Amino acid sequence: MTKEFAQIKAVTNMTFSVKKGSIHGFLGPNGSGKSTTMKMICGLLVPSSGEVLVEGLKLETHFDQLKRSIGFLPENPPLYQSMKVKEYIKFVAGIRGVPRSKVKKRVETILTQCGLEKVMGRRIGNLSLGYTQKVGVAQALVHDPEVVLLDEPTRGLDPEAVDEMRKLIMELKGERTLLLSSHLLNEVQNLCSEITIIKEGKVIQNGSLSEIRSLFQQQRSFKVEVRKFNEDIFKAFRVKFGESLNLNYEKKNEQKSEEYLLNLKMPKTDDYRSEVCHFLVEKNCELLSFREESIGVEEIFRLATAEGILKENALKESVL
Amino acid sequence: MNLLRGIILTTKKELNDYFGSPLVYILTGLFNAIIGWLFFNYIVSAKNLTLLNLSHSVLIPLFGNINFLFLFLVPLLSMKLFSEEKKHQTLDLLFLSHLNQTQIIFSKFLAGLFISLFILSWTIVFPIILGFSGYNDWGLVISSYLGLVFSIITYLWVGLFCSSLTENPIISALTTFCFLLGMMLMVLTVNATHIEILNTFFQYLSSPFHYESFSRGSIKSYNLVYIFSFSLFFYFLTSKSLESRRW
Ligand SMILES: Nc1ncnc2c1ncn2[C@@H]1O[C@H](COP(=O)(O)OP(=O)(O)O)[C@@H](O)[C@H]1O
Ligand SMILES: [Mg+2]
Repeated sequence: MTKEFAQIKAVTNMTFSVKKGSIHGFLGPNGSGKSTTMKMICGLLVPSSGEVLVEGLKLETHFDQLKRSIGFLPENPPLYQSMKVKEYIKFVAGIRGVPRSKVKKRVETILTQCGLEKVMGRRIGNLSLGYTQKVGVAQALVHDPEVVLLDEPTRGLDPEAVDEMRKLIMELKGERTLLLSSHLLNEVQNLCSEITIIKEGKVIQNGSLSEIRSLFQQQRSFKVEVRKFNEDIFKAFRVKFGESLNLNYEKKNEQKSEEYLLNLKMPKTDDYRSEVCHFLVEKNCELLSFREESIGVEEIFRLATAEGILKENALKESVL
Repeated sequence: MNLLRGIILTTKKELNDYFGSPLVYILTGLFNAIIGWLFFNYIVSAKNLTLLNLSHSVLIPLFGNINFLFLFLVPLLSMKLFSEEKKHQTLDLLFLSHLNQTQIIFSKFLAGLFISLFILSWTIVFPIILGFSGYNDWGLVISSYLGLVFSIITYLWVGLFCSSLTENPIISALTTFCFLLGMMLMVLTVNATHIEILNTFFQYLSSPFHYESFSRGSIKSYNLVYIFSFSLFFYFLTSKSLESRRW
């Protein structure tokens, strides 16, 4: 599907499918069209062209029927600031068609499930961001939908709240189909079995997590802090390790004492870690720290777009 | 059954919102203070007050003023109905609920109507006071109130539409007010031109003209047609304006 706003093409020919019962990660940098896509999947925006199918039914024509089985947490949770938490969940349960006799029980279940019992009597406007987000999730789940879309549920949360949110999402696994968007890969990698990566409104990678990871983690990346480093050592490093390791260094200027930061890239197939450490110690570099950088999402996007270009070139060549 | 429940729930939520904020109480107090003061003034200033001219020297101008004051009140009451939901993105919540757009609009309308009637209802004391001193033209009182209710309905529809256009309640209130005032002034201007056809045409379009029929106690079928088509027209605009969000 495609979505055009007045001047911008927010989403271009996006096609992907989400398997029933899976947790699907939807990744892209800010402004890449995640929220727009999710709103289209929920029927809150109408695609400029293309269509959304839910269990084989067209969303546009079966909206009244399908919206019952969709739960959606937008990036700004739709909360009434002046309502109390319980009152709000009860209200949502009512308008989303939970039978009157079951409302009370359902509300209690969902409050427990989302860890909201402690705050259920408080006004939503006075809650911390972590709780606000949880109320948002509770709102999306209260009518027991089969398809749940969460738009950046962990955005802006502190690590502890992120952990709780992750646990909450984990518990939903299996029962429902989940589409989870994020701009951070490590956020979704523990949760999702499949991911779709988009950039500037286009799908650039789509597949199971292990596939995509192996695609991108051909290189490991390390950050090394040392107290001494200079051009000679750098040259010696190049002589010793040659082309197999990629190194660059920079002086940390915010420190009074001299410290250098080395960026080291290493192929996934060979492990040179101990050799590199030995080398640095031999040269009296005063090794301070040595840590592995998990592959950043920026890196993935960079690689993924490069990958796309490579593929295109390969295609052209094969055509020629 | 389920649909009715949805409308009741949303209307109730809206009313909780109204009664939870001081605005309604302030408006009610202010409004009734003004009307009370006018009432007192009319009685004192009317010369040789008799039971027969009470209607003309007190009640009819009083109801006219009530109608005029609602021109200011309704924009303030309707301003938040959609704009606030747009601002906090809660409109999406309603769209995903089992209420369809018509029901959403109607539950907002009902809430606005209810709160307006709540404010209006206090003014019933004034005819009752007159009643104690022997006034008994209740037909006029009833038709005036009917006229007020119909006026309020037309004001509210304009307010709902303006509220659906913006995320800012103040802008919503201002546009509603300008529209309603414009409608009133338009008639005055056209009246001054003495062109019969234009006169009739613009009079028919403006709600104060129809209110007068009620206050004179002579309700014509075209008054009802007007209110119905006016409401329908603005319902239609509101619904288009809400739909346009999705495109
Ligand atoms: N209502 C809108 N009108 C115009 N442009 C929009 C609108 N909503 C989003 N956009 C644009 O579409 C692009 C994608 O936005 P969005 O879907 O919010 O990205 P994401 O959620 O991935 O950060 C952005 O460039 C944004 O500016
Ligand atoms: Mg977004």
